[in-house]
Amino acid sequence: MNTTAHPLRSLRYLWGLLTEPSNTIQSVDQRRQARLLTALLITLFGALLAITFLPFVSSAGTTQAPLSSEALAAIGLLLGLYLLSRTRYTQLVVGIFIAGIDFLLFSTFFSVPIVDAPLYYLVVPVFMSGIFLSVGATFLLCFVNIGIMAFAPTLIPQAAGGAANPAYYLGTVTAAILVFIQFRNVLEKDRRFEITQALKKVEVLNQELTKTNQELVESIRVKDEFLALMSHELRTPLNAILGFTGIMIMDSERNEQNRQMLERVEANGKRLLTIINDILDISKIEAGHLELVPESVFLRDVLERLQKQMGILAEQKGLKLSISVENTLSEIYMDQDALFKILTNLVANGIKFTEAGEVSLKIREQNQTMIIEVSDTGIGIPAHKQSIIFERFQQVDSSTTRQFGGTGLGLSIVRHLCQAMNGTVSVTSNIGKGSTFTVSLPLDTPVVHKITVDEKVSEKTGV
Amino acid sequence: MAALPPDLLAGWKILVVDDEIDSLMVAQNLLTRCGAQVLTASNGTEGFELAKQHLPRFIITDLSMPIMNGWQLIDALKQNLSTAEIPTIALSAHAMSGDREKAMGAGFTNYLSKPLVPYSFVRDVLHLLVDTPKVADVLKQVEG
Repeated sequence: MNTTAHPLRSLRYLWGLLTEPSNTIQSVDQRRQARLLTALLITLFGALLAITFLPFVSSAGTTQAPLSSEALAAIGLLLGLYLLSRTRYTQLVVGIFIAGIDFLLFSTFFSVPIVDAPLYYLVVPVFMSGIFLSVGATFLLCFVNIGIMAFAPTLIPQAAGGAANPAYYLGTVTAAILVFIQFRNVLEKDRRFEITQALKKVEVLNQELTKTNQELVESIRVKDEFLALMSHELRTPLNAILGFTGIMIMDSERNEQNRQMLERVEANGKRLLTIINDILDISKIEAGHLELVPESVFLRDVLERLQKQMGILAEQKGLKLSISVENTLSEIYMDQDALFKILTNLVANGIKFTEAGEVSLKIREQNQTMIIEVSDTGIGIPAHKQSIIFERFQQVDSSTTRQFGGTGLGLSIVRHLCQAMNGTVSVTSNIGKGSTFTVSLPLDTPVVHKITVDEKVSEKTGV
Repeated sequence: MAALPPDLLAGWKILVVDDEIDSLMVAQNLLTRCGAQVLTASNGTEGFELAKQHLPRFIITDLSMPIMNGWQLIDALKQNLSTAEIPTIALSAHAMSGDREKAMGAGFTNYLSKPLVPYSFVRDVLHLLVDTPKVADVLKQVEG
């Protein structure tokens, strides 16, 4: 099928290319007219070439001299008109074309004694005018034609021999115009009917869309409420669990076993809290509710906080955590929470997947960009997994989900945050040797501040 | 983190309002450890009465509560001359974006989200109240 379809398809393509209207014509109707006109001109051109060059079409007498000067002129004219019809001057082409046919017919008309035959050809320009120009132009053309027929013989003596009877022409043209008007009316009626039908369909579709939209808004609201409620419901018992265990750990220093178990309860409570926070973050980000508030940030403060939080984790696993920053970077302008989330996620990840050695965080500046490198000496990430780890809920492999905890949301959050700050995050890794995550954040980030509809409403209602 | 001195808040009256008995106990325990006298209430109405009666140094209140919630409580406190100036912290399990702004807008001095961190709770609270008299002195004592 395909092999036979190919030449046909390329022919269609060629035809489409040859009749393609100018890009400057916008309206669908005008494009259709322009296409029709070029098609007509190409057909006529082809016919003219055939008559001129193919001996079997020509009459026996003219075979020895096929290329008459008139034929050449006609070919030239058609070619010119075709080229002009590819521009936006479609109407001008139609005008020239009609004038040309009229002139040709009348010149035959007045020079050859056969009277009535060309008369019928004179209907052609009238039709052309009806299709391409206006009703007014069509009537004008009829009057001009009748006028020439009535008065030319008296003004041009040599034309008198071939003069036609204007009354015949009038009758023919009137009949043609009546048929044409009727045809046009029928077409117009069909068209109006189609338009009304289409409008009705659009109306129905519109209503459906409005309904769907309302349902969607409602379901998003329900989802948001559910999320807020779930977060609240989970935090309340966690408050008790973490609170009581904290207090008991403070008190029961002497009972080592109890203290250890309480520490486990506490660690698990904290883990649950991290999961809740990650899910809240990712759902906020995906709902487009991420709000970045760039502010003056003293990098040292952020890194001190990071050292405090992550140092304990690294210490527990016997890892070295080294943090270094270039001196040129002291005060920067960006969203502090987002920056801190990026750093903690990457460093915590490094610690999580490293058994021995060190996790290092290096921050430097390069061409108005802050480059953050977090390297570990951990298990590494296979090349084919390096792209999926930034997708949500993805870890390097499902068996590691058992070995290493976590929702698999951390890196997805990092990527989203980096994108929101016009930055990037990437990874290089060697299996068994470790991984390096590189984040680059532009330091001249324009202020990205989104206020969501919800917050605007809550600001207004105030409380 | 070093333990706080047991007489850090000696002589301070602090009101804690929460309908969750567990949350109440945790906060009460942690504050009592620093020598504070902790008054507790399980809804806004009780809390408002205690506040008028004892004029505590500061108030920590939950937001979602039966009978009178935290939003209504802050309104009542602000409209009563004797209690209008008492610093009040919202301690809530609401942690969606905008909750903090909403609370500050409603007249709370500051906002802390649950679960609270036992080891640093008192310190966190003092940090949030840093603009109120005496707190700065106490903080200096804690942080050296």
